[in-house]
Amino acid sequence: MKKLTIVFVLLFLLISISIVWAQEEKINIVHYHWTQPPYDEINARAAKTFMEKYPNVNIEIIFIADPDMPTKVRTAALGGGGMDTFAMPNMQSAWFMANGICAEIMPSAFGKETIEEVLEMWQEGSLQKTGGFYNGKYYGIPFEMSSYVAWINTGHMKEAGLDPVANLPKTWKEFVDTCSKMTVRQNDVIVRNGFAINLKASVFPFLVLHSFMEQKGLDWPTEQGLKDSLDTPEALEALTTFTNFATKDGIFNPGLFDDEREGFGNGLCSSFLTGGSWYWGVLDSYSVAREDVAPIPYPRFEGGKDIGGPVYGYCVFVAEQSKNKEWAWKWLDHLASQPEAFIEHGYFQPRNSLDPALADKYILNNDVFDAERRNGAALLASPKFSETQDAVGEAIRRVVFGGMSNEESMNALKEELSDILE
Amino acid sequence: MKKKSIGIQKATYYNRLQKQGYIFILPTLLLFSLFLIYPMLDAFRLSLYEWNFAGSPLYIGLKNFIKLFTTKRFWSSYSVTLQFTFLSVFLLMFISFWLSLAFTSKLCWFKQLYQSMVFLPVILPMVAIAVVWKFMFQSTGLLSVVFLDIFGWNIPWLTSTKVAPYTMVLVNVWKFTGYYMVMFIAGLLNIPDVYHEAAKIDGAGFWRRLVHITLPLLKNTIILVFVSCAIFSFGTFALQYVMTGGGPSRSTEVLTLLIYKEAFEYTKFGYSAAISVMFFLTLFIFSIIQLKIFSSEAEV
Repeated sequence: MKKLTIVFVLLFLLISISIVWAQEEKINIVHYHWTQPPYDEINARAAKTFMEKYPNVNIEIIFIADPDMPTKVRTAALGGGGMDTFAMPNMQSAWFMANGICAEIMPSAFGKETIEEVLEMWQEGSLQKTGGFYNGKYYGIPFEMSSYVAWINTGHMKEAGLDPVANLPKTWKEFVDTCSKMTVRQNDVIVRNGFAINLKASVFPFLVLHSFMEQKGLDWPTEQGLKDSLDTPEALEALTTFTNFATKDGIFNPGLFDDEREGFGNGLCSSFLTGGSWYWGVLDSYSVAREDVAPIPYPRFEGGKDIGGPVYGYCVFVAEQSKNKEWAWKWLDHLASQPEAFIEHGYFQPRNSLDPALADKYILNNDVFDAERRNGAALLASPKFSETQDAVGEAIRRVVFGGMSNEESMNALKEELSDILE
Repeated sequence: MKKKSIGIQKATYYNRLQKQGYIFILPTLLLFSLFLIYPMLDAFRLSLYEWNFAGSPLYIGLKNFIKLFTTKRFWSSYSVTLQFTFLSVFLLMFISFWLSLAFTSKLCWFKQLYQSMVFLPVILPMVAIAVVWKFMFQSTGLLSVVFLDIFGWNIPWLTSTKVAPYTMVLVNVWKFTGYYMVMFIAGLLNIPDVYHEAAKIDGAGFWRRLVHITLPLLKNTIILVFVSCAIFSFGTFALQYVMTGGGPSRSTEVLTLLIYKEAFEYTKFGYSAAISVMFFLTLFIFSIIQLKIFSSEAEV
């Protein structure tokens, strides 16, 4: 009996040790991703299918609230462990690439020999537009790509005696005229904005002005191009066009509300410039009906470049600190290879494997969104993005709220940016 | 002899009790040191470094401070904070003092109801207050509509660089008046009635009693209210963060908001720490002055 007990104990120890060993031998990949139902389920399913395909790999996804992503990923990177892969929006990703937190794309993990072959897996230029490219090197693969278009309330157009098809504005001048007719006043106070934008946060005015500048032929996606552009009359004209919405054209009262998406959804403004294809879903939670709304391409400057609204998105990256980079890239390739699952919810992944018919099926007015995504303005890739964006937003606010002239504000911006981007 | 031994026993007992007391507070003291005192001291060290959260901090001496003193944005923020503090302190003290006088007067009816109404905003969270006031300040909001309909004034509460700083003070005063009022009421109730009654018999009117009895006997309360009011107003954050984000055009960007932005939005942790040091020094100097006043009061 005693011998038997000893044998059982030894057997138990042996099994336990082998289980622990087996666990240790498994490759563990920790992925940081922003949380957004119903996409969380698709991501979790991707992890499951990957683990079924490669039983030696264990994937753990940590979901984080979108605004917390940069801080959480920074902290994980600084801590030196526990993070192999992560998602990051293009407006923040340059900081991570510039500071050595991201590893370069490894073509072998994708079964390719060169980076060019990897790039061919996605729509042309989409790695730049979604923030996976910095300083001549490719670090991230696209996970989502979206672009801002102009949204207009066709019900308000009819009310103002405009034809919702023939009178859709194509230039900024026409845009102001149309918005002017849709603006409603009471006692000289605007109670319905013809156009609105959230000026409290810098990101929205920055993005719209970014498009204006590129339509004017200025090179805003690079730090040097941005700095050089500020001395040009085109830059001043772009800034003036924007600030005039509030100061001269009388189509925008910033005091009416902050959030233009909410204002538009509740019929308190007739147009805005900061919504992508996802706005259809957002609109459903407000009072304005889908049939009273139309997404249209960004208006252009007469004689300017044919460039649409800003294109933005998310890329997924492998952390430089990851011990299993090849497996990490394999996992990201798998994660970003199911555009057909995402498109059902109106979420566009620019992977070439996506059947274009599916995009047309699930995204209302996809013709407008697709053309604008392709023609859209790629954003500035800079580790100083937040500060730059704040300075540009401030240049607009100085004119709108402080009564400063556009010239003076542009000079102040030049001074501030030369300090930030030195 | 017996008395002496009892005395020694008592002393040993209290010494032992005191030592045990230290053991009881040790965990709190350790946590307090680790999470409050150490980070505070480390901010001084960090202010001498350039550090963006990635990589090792780079020692740059006093460069952060030199940059700070030559940057318009810092001075603008400093001046916004001082303006907010001075105005808030003045209005809060003035209004809460007069309210406390009214509520301790025998002539006032329904005192408790009024007191509760004035005190109510104190228990509400600042974020909730800021959100509600923001709605009221919109151009179609309650306050804007009232002012436009009654007085014909279209006040740009949050969209003018000239008006927004005062709007912040208005909300701050509305929230904290009740708190300081209670402090003043406590001080007023500590003044024995006999002084006032004696003065009344001698023919002193309201103003004389106020100047020669109430104010001198309320000095310590006034100093306490002044100091706490100044410190809390100087450290304001949530109000500006929620209502304006520092805008319009940085006209409400207080120092705490600038510290937050420099650290967590621009990842300039060294520079942000330098601003924190300046913030600390300002309050430190203020506290020294206040301590001097207190000690001179004690000597008197």
